[in-house]
Amino acid sequence: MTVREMQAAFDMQIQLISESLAIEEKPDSFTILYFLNTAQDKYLKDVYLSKGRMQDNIEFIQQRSDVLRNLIVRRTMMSPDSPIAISATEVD
Amino acid sequence: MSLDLPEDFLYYLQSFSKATNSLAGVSTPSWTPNRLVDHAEIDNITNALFNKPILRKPCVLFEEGDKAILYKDIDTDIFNISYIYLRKPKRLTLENPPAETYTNECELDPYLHPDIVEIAVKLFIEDYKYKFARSAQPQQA
Repeated sequence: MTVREMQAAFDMQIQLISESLAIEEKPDSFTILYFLNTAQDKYLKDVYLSKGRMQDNIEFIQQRSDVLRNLIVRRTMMSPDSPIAISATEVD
Repeated sequence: MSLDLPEDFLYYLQSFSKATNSLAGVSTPSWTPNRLVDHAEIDNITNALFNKPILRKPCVLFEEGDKAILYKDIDTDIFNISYIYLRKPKRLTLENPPAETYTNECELDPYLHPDIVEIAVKLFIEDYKYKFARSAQPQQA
């Protein structure tokens, strides 16, 4: 679904809920985008990051990695000689 | 060792260290999974009564503000760290994406898009009801 299609779906649902709301308080594109972006974040937080223990959240996300595949990223940090080096300190 | 997490970082999933360990006789750097630890274990992995602590695997601890710390023992040398994480979804926009962090298409699985719209509508209605209730309150002189 493109953002424009999501915006249209949002408008349609508002119209179904209340005719007057759709006419008098019709949200502009900026407002709809704000709520769509907030909804994305809320969905991830409520469904995937709300299990309490960090390990439980991780297992839950890994079991559903096919759904979140676009958001799962692997990064490698190079050795200290590399431009994106990390500084190492030993545990005393 | 502090891990610099990227700006789009949302949640840690897994990490690995390419390391050698002189105690275990691993002289060629090899990948090993890091162990996720919580604050209750910190004392055990950083202090030992008489000796230096021995860690079978490097340990990752997350602190508030998405700060990650990697602990290793004195016998371990880490060369590379690879980590897998869940990133923040790109911001939705109707215009041409002004930056890499914006998109014209929701990145979540397509079957979830109607759910996202539904949540957005609910949030809007809640906000609208709140505004309506406030405007309906009688003004005090």
